[in-house]
Amino acid sequence: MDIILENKPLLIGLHLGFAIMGIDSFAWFIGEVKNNSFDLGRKISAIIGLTFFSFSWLIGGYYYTNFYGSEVKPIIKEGVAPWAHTIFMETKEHIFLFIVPLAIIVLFLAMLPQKDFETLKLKKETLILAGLIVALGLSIGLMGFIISSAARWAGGI
Amino acid sequence: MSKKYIYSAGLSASTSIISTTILTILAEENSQLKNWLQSVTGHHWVTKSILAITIFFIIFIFLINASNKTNSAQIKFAINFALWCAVLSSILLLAYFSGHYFKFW
Repeated sequence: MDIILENKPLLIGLHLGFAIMGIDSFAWFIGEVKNNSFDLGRKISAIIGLTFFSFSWLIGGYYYTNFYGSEVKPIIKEGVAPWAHTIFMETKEHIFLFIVPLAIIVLFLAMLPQKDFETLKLKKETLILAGLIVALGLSIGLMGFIISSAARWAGGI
Repeated sequence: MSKKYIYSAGLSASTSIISTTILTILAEENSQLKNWLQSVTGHHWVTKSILAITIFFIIFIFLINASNKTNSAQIKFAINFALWCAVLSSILLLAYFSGHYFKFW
């Protein structure tokens, strides 16, 4: 286990990889809802989307609290782009906390029987909510790219 | 899956998002609060993470037991409220930390 927990590039890779799979899962979910499909794909995409984002949260959080603050943050703050931390890391770490609660709503929507889903006319709301999760995931990814670039410019990585 | 699960999850997510945003800004403005958050788990972000999930589930369980039948309008309201809370809170946090960097406040 220490091989994983002490391997910083692997932790970043897992954090990013799970987030990408979470985004892809909710993009898949959007396709299922758009096509009025009520097969297993709708439920599976929502379940694994929530699971992947949860893993990304845990792994990213472990890296952030154990390595980022002591090793990366000081380098960015003293480098050419200190705003990458002050604006984007601070925003990113808190917006991430919104994703799992939103994904839980989508999971319950995915579990709703076809008859109830159609009677309640929830297709538009479901698509917009799942789209927001994808959009938040992508914007968090963009902020992560800016933060990584700032660390590289400063010679930290 | 019961309809009231969606309604309850929508309002619980909204509460969790609003409380995370308010707590984050208050902690940035009040170092005593930030230190207290840090003292609970060793890191202020971990405490906020645990609070975000705890608040979600406490409100969720309360609403599941408190709400009776939920209709389409209530469910749509809960989903849209969570959606707008997430959008506006994200913009607010980005604006707050940008203002903090540029020393607007």
